Amino acid sequence: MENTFILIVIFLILILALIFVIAVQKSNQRDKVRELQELELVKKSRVLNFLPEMQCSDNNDLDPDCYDILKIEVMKEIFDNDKDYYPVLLGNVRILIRKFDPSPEINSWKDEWLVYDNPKAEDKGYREVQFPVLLRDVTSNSDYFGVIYLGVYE
Amino acid sequence: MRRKAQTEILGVAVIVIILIVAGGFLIGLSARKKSLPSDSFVDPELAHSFLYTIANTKTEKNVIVSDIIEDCYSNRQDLCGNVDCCDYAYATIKNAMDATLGNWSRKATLSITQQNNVQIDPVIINGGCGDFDEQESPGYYYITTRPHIVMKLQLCK
Repeated sequence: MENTFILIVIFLILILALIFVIAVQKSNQRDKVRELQELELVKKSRVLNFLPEMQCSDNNDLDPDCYDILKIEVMKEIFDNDKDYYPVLLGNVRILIRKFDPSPEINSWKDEWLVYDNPKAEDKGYREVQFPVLLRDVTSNSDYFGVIYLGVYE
Repeated sequence: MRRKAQTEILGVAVIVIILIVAGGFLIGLSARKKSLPSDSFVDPELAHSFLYTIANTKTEKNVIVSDIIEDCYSNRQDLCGNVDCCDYAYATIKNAMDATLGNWSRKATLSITQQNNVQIDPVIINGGCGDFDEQESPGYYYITTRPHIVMKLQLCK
């Protein structure tokens, strides 16, 4: 009787341990997937940094933290019409650029450009990373505070 | 016979206690928030791009923020009209941080110093960075005066 009781207890403990190990493994798997998704987002943000088409340039000297407003407007049209090159290069991403005026007299969002949007056919989620960038208006020779939102469709 | 049974029960109890302690230890380890590898890339990049952008942003006074800060530290105070340049710089930086880092629920502290001289109060968002908050390396931006004015942005979890 005592031996049976001990065996039952040990089996119960083993079952609990098994359930725990499975739960931990599932959680690790979820972490790994999240890690891969984050790395994908970082990879895309690097691609964006190497898009000279929209960056400010001075005598072919590119500034990766600055985007030219005139180039953004032209690139938006090119992105809209292009069906081959950029969808392969950028994949399923969304690029939104917003201009903000932090001056105490204004303190509000001014303009925004949805430069590129290529969602997936089936919606499985969306991850976004944001970086402040300088927006240059070459016509008035002024630099403004902007934010680039890079979203990746999963 | 009864004594033997008591000893066995005690043995099982010891095993159960050991398993509970080991389980608690494992749960504690797995529950600890792991920092993602992307954090070490995103945070320094974010801090750098924020400082570079705000320092070069043109304000309604038709001058860029780094010139306003330089004016504040030089005690000339002639770029901001009838407004104190130090207050103007603080308000502009705070607005930019509220609209971006504040909205993204990031804890942040931005300090501006020239050696030990502090003319502009640190800008603190969402409580700022505490001594024990987890953080990646901060971002720096140098305004080239003599001595340099250093803008430092710390981002925390």
